[in-house]
Amino acid sequence: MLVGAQAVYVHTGDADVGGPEYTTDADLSITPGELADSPLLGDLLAGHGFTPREHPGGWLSPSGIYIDLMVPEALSGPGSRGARLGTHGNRAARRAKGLEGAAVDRDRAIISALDSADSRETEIWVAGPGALLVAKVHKISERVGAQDRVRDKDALDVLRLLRAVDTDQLAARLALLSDTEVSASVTHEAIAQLPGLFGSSSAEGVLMAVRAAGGSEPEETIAGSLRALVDDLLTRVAETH
Amino acid sequence: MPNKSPTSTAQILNGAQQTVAGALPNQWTLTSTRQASSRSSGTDSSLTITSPSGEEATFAIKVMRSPSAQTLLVAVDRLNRTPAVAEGTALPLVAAAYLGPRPIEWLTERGVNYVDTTGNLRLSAQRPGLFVNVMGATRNPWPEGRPLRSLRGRGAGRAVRALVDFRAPFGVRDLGSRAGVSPATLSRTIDLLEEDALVTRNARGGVEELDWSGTIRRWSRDYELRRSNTASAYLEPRGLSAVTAKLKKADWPYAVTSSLAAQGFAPISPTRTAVLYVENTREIADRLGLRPVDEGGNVLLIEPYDPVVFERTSVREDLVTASPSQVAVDLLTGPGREPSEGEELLLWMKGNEAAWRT
Repeated sequence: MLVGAQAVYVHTGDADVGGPEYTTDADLSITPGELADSPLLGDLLAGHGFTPREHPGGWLSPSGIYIDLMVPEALSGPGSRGARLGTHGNRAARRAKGLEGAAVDRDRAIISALDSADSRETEIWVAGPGALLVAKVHKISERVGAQDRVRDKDALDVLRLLRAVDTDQLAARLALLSDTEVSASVTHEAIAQLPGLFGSSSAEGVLMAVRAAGGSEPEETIAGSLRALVDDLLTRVAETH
Repeated sequence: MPNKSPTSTAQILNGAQQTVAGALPNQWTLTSTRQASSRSSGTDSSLTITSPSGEEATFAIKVMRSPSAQTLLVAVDRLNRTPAVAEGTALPLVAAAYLGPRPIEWLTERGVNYVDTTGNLRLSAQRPGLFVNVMGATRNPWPEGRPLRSLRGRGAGRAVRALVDFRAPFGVRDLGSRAGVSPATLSRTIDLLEEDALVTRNARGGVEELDWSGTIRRWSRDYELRRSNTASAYLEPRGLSAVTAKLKKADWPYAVTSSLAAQGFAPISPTRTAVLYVENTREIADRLGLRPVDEGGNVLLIEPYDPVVFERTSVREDLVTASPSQVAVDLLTGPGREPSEGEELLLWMKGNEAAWRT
């Protein structure tokens, strides 16, 4: 199923933060239990002209698009990088913490080409806003203090999700994730991280979002918006439990 | 008392002199000297009163065209610092066409002599011993006669909007009834614009031609969006698109102005703050689910100087948008890039006059 920034845009459209955002990289999450033994992932991709990259799960399409296949850490088996996918091997996909919710909170969506002249479209699973929020918070907290500007956009994606998705709906998705065994612990961790990452103007997540927005909105507006929306969300989450 | 309001310094001095002459005891005489350079000296004239025994008291006169607590403070201070008053060879005397009860009280409290052309007078001197205190009119006999000094006020704003939004030529009464403005206010506003050569009057006193962009610029010198209205800052944490989505469904009166409104006419830069005229800020903030903030607000709710901001609106991009004349003055007096957006809007207005002027 689709995860990452592409999935965020499915939910947010062009929510007005930093202007429209484009990324060609696609992140896809795999639930091992849903994977058939054949065809083999590697064979299927190679058959369509994809070439494996150096790191497990990394593939390059014939037209030069990177895709990353990932497996939620809780379902990846032992090891540190490649996910253990039985007959599919240890290199087809990599392990990633925080994606556990993508198998729980997910929606079917039709993905079509950006170019209106291109009529291709396909219906796939897209991670839901709750699962994406949890995944983004994990990604951000892993990088706190790393001065990694590449990750700044993850904080902006959090603002996009918080702005575009109704607070009650988001809280309901988080409740579902908390109540489901596979995603409960990453969800609790993510909820606990929210105030520290977005609760004040100088919090790391806020600073990252401000940098990524590149002046499209005043810093105080971004900080105030994140604070207010996180507050609302946590209040609703507390009420739901 | 003259039938028409004395407006020039000479007319006021004349009238004031008549008031003094009428109040002096028998055998006292009065001579006046008109000062040549009134600006530098801080006085407009001096008046010398001679007692029957030949003793003289000289008064340094400052003529006030629109006496108010604020203008009096400045004038009296200057008067007290003129050499003759400071050295004690002259006594300060304020003269005006009419002094109301409040200016009179203000002057009396400070022991400043005054005179107006309606008969109000207070003169006090030690040598020769003189004290005259006479009451004249207690209400302004020429309430509409005071010339307008600025376009800051509500009536002036309403009048400017009418003058700009409707296409000349028009008669003052006719425009007044079309736009709901008192002819007296319109007339005084036209007088002020005439001083800056922004209007041409016809033989019957109506407006023949009006330089609308010059008039908007002239208005922007006295008006300022954030000071002439009551503005409060709010945050919509979901961003401006959430604000506009809610406005498109609003069933209460509002009008967008400034940068958001300019998007519907001459967009040049993205909107960072949505500025909205509303009737009641608190009520609308609640309806829109906005949060009050000290900084970082992205919505400014404005209770307007006058309901005219809700008149002659149009719907652009599904938003009720204030008239371009209002949006232009709001942008010209706004922060950041807004003044240049205002310039851009004036250009648009020039190229599309038929779209906004009737």
